[in-house]
Amino acid sequence: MTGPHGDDRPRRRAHRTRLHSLVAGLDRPHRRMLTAVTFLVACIAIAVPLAASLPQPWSGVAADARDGASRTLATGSDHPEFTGPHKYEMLDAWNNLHTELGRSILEDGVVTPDELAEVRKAYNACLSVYGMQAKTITDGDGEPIGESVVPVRGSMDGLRRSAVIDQCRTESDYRWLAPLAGA
Amino acid sequence: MNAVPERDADSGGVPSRPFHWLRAHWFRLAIAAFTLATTLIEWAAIPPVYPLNFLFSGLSVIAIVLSPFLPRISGWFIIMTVVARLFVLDLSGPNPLWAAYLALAVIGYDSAIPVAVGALLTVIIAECVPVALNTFNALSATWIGMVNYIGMFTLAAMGGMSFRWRRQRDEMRERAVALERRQWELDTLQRNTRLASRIHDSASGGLSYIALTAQRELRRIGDDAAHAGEREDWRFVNEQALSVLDEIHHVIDLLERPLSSDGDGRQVPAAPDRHASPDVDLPPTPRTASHRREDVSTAARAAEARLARLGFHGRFDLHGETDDDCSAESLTAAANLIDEIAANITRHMSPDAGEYRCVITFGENAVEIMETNPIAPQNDAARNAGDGMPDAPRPHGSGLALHRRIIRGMGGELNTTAEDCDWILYARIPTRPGPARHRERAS
Repeated sequence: MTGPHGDDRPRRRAHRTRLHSLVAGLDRPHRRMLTAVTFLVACIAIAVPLAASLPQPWSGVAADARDGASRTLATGSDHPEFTGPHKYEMLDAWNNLHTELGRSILEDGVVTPDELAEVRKAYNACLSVYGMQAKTITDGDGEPIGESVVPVRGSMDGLRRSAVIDQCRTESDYRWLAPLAGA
Repeated sequence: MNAVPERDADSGGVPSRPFHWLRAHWFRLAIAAFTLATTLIEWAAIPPVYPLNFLFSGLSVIAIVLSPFLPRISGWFIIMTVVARLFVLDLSGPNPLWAAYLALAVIGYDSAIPVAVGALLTVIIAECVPVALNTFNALSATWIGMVNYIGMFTLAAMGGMSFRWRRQRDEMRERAVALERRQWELDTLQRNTRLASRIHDSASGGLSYIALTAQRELRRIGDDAAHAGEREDWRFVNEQALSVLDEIHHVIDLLERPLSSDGDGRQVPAAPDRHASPDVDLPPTPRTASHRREDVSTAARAAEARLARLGFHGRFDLHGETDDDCSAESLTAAANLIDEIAANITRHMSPDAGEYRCVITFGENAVEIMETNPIAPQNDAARNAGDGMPDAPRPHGSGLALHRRIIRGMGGELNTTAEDCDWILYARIPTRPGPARHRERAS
């Protein structure tokens, strides 16, 4: 309890007394408000480190796009037996997949529209972190003929934006699974 | 928006407290609802990805919901979440700008100008940091683009401030109207008090003398048949005098009643021109102080003569001299009080009880009046009632109260007391009235 400069107990006691007199000086509504604010600040102080320690998806996309890094899942000799005219594209896609979601979709050798929508959702989540959204372009009959990515927020320049879009396509497996949809 | 539907009122017709609150804070609720709607729509379209971003966005939504109830705390809480989200490199989730505009408007409305400017600078400086660091989450890639955002933040804060200024202006206007109305009521009450006093002093005293004279004549004539016609005439005079006296007392009561305490909810008449004074209808007194002192002296001599004629013994003595700057109002008040003292002697004292004595002293600063007389025994009234004579004039009881109010309004005093069967009155009327009246008006 003794500090490097001697006993600091009287100083602490004086500090505590000052705090008590400050709180006692407040009227009842103010005291209640002070309690509520203190409780809220305590909750935030606990919640912020907890939330910060949780995994943050797509956080490395910009850095990966800068240095060209791309962490694919580990590949080996055990892969599904793909058949049909697109079996080589499927095998190539399998070896480049980044997510377990992508593998679970491609495992049966078929990418359904619902499964592609799920991958597209992950792709959009990746883009949204950088203030962008993918938008489907349709023809006059409402048939999709392509897609574009539009900036929603932020101030990323064109070059970085292209790199991030490419990286999101790759890391969400949208790049590999979109061509296989309906094949 | 401000209409009051009947179903929102209590059974007694009084709107309930929550409804009052809603009516007073509808604009807060409207802008909070708008901000909440846009935030939730954006949240649904682009949900937050990072957990930390989710936390700050959630806190921001909570603060938006609480903003109508705890505006200042919620405002600063929103600003805190907006600043915190700048340090989380995640642009997903609801746009924090809506909440920032709301927070600045709310703080601008509810806080002092330096606090509102502090909040505005906090947001502006925080939003400038990503621009300076050239990170992708900056509002704009260039400083020129930031000018637009700074303008929007300033407009939001100024919007809140302008609403507060408008509210303050309305409050000041209402206060001024209430003050003016109160002043008018006070002026009217003072004017009515003076009118009541004037009526009381002139008519009430005279009628009391008439009634007393008629009663004395009735006693003198006796009950013999030869004077039956004369007795009938005096009885008629007495009854008429008493009846008119009652009516005058009723009028005095009406004049003394404050206008605003009407009770039946009637509106008081519109306030007259503010320059109108309660004194304007009183006759001007362009005479000198010595002449006015003569008025007091004349009033004392006349009162003494009237009392002597009614069989009362005693005298009025005058001492001292008035200054030239002695107010006419003070001397008029003194003369009126002498009339009231004489009238009270006829009502409350028996001629056989003893002598009355009144001393009027003119001083440098005040006119002092001291009067004393024996109090009539209680059985005198019973004796009068028992001899078949008509009722004596009933005292109204407000004559001295009226004079006391006027004299106090001038800064003087009027005290009465009964000691050892003697009635004692002391009045001090300042020769230059003013401060108390000003105080009364100011209050």
